[in-house]
Amino acid sequence: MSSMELELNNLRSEALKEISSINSLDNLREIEIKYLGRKGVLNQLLKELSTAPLEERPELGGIINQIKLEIIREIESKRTLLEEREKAKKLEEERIDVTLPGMNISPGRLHPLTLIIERVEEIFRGLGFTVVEGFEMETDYYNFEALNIPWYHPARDTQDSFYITDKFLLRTQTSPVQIRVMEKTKPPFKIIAPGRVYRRDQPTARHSPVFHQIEGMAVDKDITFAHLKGTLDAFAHALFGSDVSTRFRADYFPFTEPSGEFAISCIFCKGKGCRVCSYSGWIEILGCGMVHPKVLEVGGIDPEEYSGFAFGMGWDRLAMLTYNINDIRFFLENHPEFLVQF
Amino acid sequence: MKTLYSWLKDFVDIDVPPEEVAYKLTMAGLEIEEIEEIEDDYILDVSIPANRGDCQSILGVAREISALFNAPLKLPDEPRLKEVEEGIDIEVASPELCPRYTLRFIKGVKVGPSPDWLKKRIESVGIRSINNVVDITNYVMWMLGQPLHAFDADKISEKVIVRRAYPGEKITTLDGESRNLTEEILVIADKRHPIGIAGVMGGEDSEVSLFTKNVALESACFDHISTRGMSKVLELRTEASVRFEKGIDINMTKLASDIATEMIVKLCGGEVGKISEFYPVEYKPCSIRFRPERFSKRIGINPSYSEMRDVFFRLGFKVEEHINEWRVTPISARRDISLEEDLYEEVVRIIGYDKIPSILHERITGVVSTSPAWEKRKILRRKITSLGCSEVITSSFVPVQFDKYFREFYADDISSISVINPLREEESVLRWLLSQSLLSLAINNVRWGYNDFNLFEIGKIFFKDGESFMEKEHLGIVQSGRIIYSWDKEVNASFFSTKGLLEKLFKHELTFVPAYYSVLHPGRTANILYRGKVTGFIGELHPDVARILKLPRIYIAEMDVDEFPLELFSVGQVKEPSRLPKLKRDIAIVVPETLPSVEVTSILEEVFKDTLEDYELFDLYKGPNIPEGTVNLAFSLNLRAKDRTLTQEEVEEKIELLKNKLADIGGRLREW
Ligand SMILES: [Zn+2]
Repeated sequence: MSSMELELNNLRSEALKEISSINSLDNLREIEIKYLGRKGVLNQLLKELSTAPLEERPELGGIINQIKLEIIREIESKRTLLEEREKAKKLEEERIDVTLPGMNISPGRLHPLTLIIERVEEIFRGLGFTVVEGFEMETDYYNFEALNIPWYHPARDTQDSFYITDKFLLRTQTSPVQIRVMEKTKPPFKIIAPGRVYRRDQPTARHSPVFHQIEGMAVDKDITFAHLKGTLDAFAHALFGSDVSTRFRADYFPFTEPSGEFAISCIFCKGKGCRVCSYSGWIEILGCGMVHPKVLEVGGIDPEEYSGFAFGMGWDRLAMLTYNINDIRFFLENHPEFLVQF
Repeated sequence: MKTLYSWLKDFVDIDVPPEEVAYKLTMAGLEIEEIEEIEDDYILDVSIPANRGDCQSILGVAREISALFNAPLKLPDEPRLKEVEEGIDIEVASPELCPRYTLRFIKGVKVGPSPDWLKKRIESVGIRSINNVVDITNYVMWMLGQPLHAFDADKISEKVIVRRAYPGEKITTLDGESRNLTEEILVIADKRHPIGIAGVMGGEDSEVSLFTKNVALESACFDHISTRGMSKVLELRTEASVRFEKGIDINMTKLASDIATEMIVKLCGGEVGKISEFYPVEYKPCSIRFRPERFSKRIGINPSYSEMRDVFFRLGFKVEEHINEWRVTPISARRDISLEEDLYEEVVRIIGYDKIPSILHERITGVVSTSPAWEKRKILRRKITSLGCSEVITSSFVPVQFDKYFREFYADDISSISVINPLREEESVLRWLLSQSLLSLAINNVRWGYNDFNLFEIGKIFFKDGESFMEKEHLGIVQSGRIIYSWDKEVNASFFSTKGLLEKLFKHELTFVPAYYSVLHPGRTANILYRGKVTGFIGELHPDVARILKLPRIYIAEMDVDEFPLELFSVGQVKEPSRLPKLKRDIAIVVPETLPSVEVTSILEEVFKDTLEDYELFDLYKGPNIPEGTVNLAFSLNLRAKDRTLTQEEVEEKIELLKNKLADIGGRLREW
């Protein structure tokens, strides 16, 4: 072994020792430069090779390259090791307490009355109805007279109104929309008209001076009471489930004839009787009937040629039933603890 | 109206449990709210629809039961009265308000307590026992539906006149109230003065008392419309007035009087005097056309002729059958039946609504389209909730203290609307802006302990423009406190958090111009313009107002949604995405701090034209690194040409142009 060989051997073991003792990526980079850099030890040796005897050059060159490869391999494996170690350290530093609460990003919520009307709308749209709207400030004519409720009609007693002038009032029902639609539209049509109504009632758990109704009306040739039943049955089953029973009984409204009241079997006690249904097993949902011939005439529709049905229901009441809410005043009060539940 | 089961059975022969009667009556339109069991009887509380004047009596309800159960109705017998030659003359001066009037003289009665059976019966249905004569009038009214009134005949001077009151006349009614009368009030008077208000209440002077010897028994029919009017004017409703309002059977008037007279002489002694009667035109019900075919076409069932005929017979109606068309004559008590459709209801009521099948009508589409306002509201609601804002629905009435709030939004000739007859004076004003309602809600929220809120409402507002009453749909937003928060960071409500919502909702089509509203912060308020028109406003509540209302910093915005076309909110023409690379360039611009940023952005838009795809202000800096009185605006620009890859040279060219333009407004590009 030549002195050169011996020197190379020492260099090799020194380099490997140095690499194995290194503890940081920075130091590793220094070592890399020291041995493998452009001006590093090994490159220097290769340059110096030209001074060696010609016949020894290939062998020495081979040895140098072998050492170089070995150092590269060692450095790389050291690097991988150190990188892993560093990553692990960083990850450890980034450790968080996963039990801390998350950021409070509240979703925007819809009001329960909106949630209900969107369901109702969807059901009636599926049955071929469209949505129209009317005015909240109405004339006495549209709110009463045109609906077969002259000023002396006893039905006005239950609909004590807020007046704006002696002729204008806040509508007590959504039914004026019936007249306004008929005046503008030639049958056939099927509409629902949801909206706000007003009655001069002292606020209680069951009554609010400001509340909401959903009006419905269909006019065509040969519409029968059976179609009214079919429509309302479909509605009730879609909204309250196919297992509810429905019931029609006679009732009176000035603007329908015959008139009826539509009830569903109590959804709370399954018809056995409870506080909500006043132990009757039935919950009244809406009033309905065949559009009164006088009302059709007022709307410019010939009652001999056409017939129609109409219905009106309490929108707030529907929401109260759906969510089992006992006080109508919650809807317009908007208490955060109430609204956050929907 | 309370009825006694045994009393009903006096008139109809049935042998079924009261529950079954209650069920059938309810299904046929006379709802039984309650069955109360007493001793050996039951009280059925019947709620009577507004059109069923005929059911305001035991007889009327019994008639319904008779029809429903097909059980015979036992009508009361006409009493045979032996009359003495003594009576009181009557004169009906206002026949238009009193189509029938009778007055029976009864001589020598002994007024005293009623016998127990009578007392028990009337008390069980809720009538207070007074004395035998008065109790009998009430008993017969309850039984037959005909209101009766007994006068002390000795208090009547000469004769009884039914006439309108003279202006200035007064009467003290049985309830002890002194009432001023007007010409719209029909009175029962004697030669001197009114002794009763027709159909409503008798006078105190002529009341039957324990000292009464001779009685004048009134049984009459007063016009339902005028009785209702009087009852309203006098704010006085009685069992009698309610019956007249809904309409009584005019052909029962005399029979009721006779039955009461018979009872009086039987229970109180005395002799039957003469009856004076005014009934110039006897009421005879008209026959009504009934077409069985049309009935089937309207109702959707095909009962046999005999079934339908049977229904009418059970109701006591007369039927004449012709081919395809019948003539049906109701009984005189059923004044509610005047049209063919009324007869349809009778048939289905008695046959049962459950006999009608349930059939879906075919779809009708495309005739009436759903209102654009409705669709718009739905889109807006969905968008704004997706931005974290929650919906509220508030009352249309606003506290009177907010009446003039945000007045500056409207022209001077526009005013708010109040109702004439509010429930409470402080709640008479209709909101003319949702901001009023939202402010009111903010106060409640804070009072309930909720200082963080982010709420919106879409609803109607009301105002008066000249002589017309206007309704419009508005969107209102109110924000306060923290919007997003956790233990390590939070985003607070600010003018810009509210503005950001509007920009997202209205697709950056809005212009914000500083504005003055007395209740808003003078430096933090803007009108919002859409296509050059003021359609809303935004601002922070004025600190002084906030202090008075005990509110923290509140941000409010309001938009007139009606001014925006539905198309703005729906998906427009879809653009193809570009595959050319985007060039991102950050620039910093230093301008005088008084310069509105919109001046800078409009220059950006002008310089880069359609190569400026979008841009974002990502930093705003004031401080030591830039001259005093200036502000540094850092924008991130996204540049892209539609048809080619944008070169660096092109961009540099534009930047040079930008520098020049900025110099014109006293700004400069800041080198990094
Ligand atoms: Zn129940």
